[in-house]
Amino acid sequence: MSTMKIIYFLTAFLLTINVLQAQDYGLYWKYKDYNGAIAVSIPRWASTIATAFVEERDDRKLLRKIHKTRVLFFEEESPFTDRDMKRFVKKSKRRGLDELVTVRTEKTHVRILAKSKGNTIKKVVVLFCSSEGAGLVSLKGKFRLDEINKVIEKSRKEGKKKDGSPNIPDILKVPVIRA
Amino acid sequence: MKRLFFSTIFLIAGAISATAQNDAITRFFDQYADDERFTVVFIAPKLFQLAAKIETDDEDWNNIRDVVKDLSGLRVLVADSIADGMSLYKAALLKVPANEYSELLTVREKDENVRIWTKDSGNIIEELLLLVGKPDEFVLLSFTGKIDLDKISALSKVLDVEGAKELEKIKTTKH
Repeated sequence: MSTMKIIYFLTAFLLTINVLQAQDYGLYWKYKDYNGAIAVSIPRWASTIATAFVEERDDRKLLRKIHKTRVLFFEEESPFTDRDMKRFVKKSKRRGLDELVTVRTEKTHVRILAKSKGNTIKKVVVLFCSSEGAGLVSLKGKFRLDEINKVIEKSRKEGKKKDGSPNIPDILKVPVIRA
Repeated sequence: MKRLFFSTIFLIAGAISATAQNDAITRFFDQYADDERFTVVFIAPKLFQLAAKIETDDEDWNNIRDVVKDLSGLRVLVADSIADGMSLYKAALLKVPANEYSELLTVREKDENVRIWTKDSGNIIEELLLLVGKPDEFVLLSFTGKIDLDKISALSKVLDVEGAKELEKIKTTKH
């Protein structure tokens, strides 16, 4: 009987670990304890507290929509292997994330993925990897496009060019880095 | 029965041949996707769909949104300091299936070569292919979707990609 209990317990434990790792497709959990890793996981309650320090109402509203933030950063070199990257993309696609932009220049790879439903973005993942470092930013929440519009609109008004010409939202500016 | 069999074979062969032609460009992109001399950019249809939903009062953005909402993908292959720009240009030129793409524009200025092709389906332009070759530079850019030639040049302002400025030439040719 006790053996059965142990088996049940182990199965439940392994399944929990699997679900936790699945959230960021293994990379965060695999590398968060590596030497030189800066790993931050911000739960929803922490984002809610942080809204108290934000002045603008729209920014506060947007910040409250963030359910979970995960950041993994390596400053000097990237421990991510090509196999990791391939597995990450494969797993993320299987879990409903769409690849939005992929840029590779020299040894730098940048991938932006998102999960959306209708006019709501549910998750955004940015993964970058270069010879000088690597990083993973994962943002989980419920961001409606009209709310994002408001932020873009606000930043556009605030960041008007000196000659008074309107700024175009940077969403389509492809971040091509040249040496 | 025989006729049905042969027409089926013919249809399958046609489909395979069309895919193979399209694959030639894709293979060219894939061939250099991991080559460090090149910068590779891929924008998926999803981003265009999301960008099309962004509404602002900005007139410039609204013009761009008109173009973006019908686009379904962008692939760019750029190399701006290479020694064999012209040989790459010639290699890419051979990969473009002449029966599938119609030439829209050809410019040869000193050592710069620019070619733009379109792939049409009825009255709709489904793909725009831009090829730039200089001794030290190479650009291959492919837009897919429902393309309006009058509006596509507007994208040259927002795309921070070498060679995208050549899209302005479409506007010049049209008027």
